[in-house]
Amino acid sequence: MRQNLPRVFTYLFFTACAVGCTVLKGGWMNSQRGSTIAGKLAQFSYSDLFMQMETETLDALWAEPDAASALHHLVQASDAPPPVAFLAAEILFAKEPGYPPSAERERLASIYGAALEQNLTRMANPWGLPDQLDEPVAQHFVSLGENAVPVLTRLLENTSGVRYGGSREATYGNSFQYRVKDLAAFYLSKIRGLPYEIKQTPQERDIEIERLKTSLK
Amino acid sequence: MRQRHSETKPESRSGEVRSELHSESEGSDILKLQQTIGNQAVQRLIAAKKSQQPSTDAAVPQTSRTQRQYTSPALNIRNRISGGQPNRRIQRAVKTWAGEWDTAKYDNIVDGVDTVGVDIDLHFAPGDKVNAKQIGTTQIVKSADKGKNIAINAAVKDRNIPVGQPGEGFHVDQAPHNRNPMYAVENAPATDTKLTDKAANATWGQHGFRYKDATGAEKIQDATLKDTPQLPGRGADASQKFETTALAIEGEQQGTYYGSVQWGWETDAAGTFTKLPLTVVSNDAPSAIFGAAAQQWNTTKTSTGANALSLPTVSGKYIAFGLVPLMSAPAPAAQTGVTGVAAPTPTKVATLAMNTRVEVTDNGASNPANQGVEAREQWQKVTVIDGGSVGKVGWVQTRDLSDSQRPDAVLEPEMRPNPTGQPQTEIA
Repeated sequence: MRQNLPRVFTYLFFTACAVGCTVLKGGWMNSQRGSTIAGKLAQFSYSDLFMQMETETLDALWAEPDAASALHHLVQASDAPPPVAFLAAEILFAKEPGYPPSAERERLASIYGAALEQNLTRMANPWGLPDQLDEPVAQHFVSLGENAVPVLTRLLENTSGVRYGGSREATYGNSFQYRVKDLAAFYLSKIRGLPYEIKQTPQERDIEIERLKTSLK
Repeated sequence: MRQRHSETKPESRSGEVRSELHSESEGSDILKLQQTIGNQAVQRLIAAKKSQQPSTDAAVPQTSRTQRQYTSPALNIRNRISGGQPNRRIQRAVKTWAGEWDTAKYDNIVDGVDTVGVDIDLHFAPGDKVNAKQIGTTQIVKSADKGKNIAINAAVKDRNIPVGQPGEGFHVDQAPHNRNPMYAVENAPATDTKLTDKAANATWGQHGFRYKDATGAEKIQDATLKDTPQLPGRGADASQKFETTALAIEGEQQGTYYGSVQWGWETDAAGTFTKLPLTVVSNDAPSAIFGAAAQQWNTTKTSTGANALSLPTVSGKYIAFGLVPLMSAPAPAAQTGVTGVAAPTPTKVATLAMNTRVEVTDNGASNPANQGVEAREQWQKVTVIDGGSVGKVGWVQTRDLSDSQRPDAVLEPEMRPNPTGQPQTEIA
């Protein structure tokens, strides 16, 4: 429940604003369209939009009038709450061909870094199983290239654990006792094309991560 | 250490068996408690536990968000001693035609304050009618959260039974990169062509077997599966439901399924977590939903683009007539009217009574003896599931098979055409 509190507050905040909040000035809240779609996004988790078999919720959001520009606005607004900005970015990745434009890449790196740090997907699966880059969120982060390197380098110090869901994949993924730093190291190795071997234990991987840090300098 | 329990309920033909809670494991827990906190505390614990014991006997209600509002200190102590997994129980074993299913471990998985899944060590002990050099386990699963089916990853989206079809959301449970559907096989290379090419990995379980070697010595080993399904961050109306089966992948009964069982967990609208009891889904061939998921699996690729190794799809049938011969091979060309087809001379393996249950493991579509032959005259390979010839493998003609049992004496044995010319007067 405790981990859901931020979502609850965010939802209440944006819902209130969506029905006529005009007090706040400046930043992304000046856009009525942005605040409306933000209010809707705040009701959903990543799982709601991207892990359900049916895509009607995602499709309905994208069908909102001027959804694309509103979502771009949310991504670009540095004061947008991380969960909202992250979902906005994921919708654009999913729905807008050619996304992202170069002007949004640096901001996106910050958004995806926050999403990984704050466990915004709840399950680690969208970030990819160990040594696998076939899940969308992982691919999106890595696709940011050099723009993502500073954020990922910082995350090499983050020892928070991540937890995989599912059945066989959960058993496989969780057997590695993966941490944020392990995912960050893997992404960095892919972006820079650096050799990086995924080891089974955190202790072994820490040695590999130190080697990677040296290579990054 | 695996625990066996001899007292089980026989399943019906439809395969529905209701397992009950087992209390043997509580004995060792109580002994530990007596040694740790003393008899009086244990008595208080038992009294507290009895007061919380639900009346239902099938499901295993677990700590929920609402129930957590009060938990007795004694129960807290017990929970800590038992590894923080409240109400740990061992399920009673259940039986299928070929053996016994049981759990050596079936615990809750707790993430922070939420119970989010189960930790299971599932065993299939092959019975004395099994004749297989390798038996693998495989399973299908469906995950749901907030009442809606979810696809954990991109591979699952492809492997799922599509929306709108019976069993939607069920898929063969294997990691995205794995092409072998046997649960305990990890990283089968692209060069593998058979389910047996890559050995089981002990991390995930082991293949079983039961057969007699060249010296006549019997070799027996359980097939096992280790899994920790979970949905971190799950909400209300969440679930993970499994159908697990054992499949002969090498040996006389290759292609035969040894029945299937259901297990898993679910939460209700209030988020209350319940571990599902181990129950039989099917006594022989897995369910139609399993079959659909297997067909879906057979058409998909792994996350690395490799083709999946196919799961055999089988069906359960009944012998439609009396005195039907079970042959060692399809009838030779001379008897089927097809010339130029080399086929072994068949011998009679057994004579099957009407309504004998069989599992069709090969519909014979690619068998030379069936080419150009009218459909009802074609041969299908079966494993006998019940009756005096249970466990025997052979071929019968399509016309001798029925989807359902037939009332006794509907057809006299002599009314059935004799495909072999052999007298049909004996019953094996």
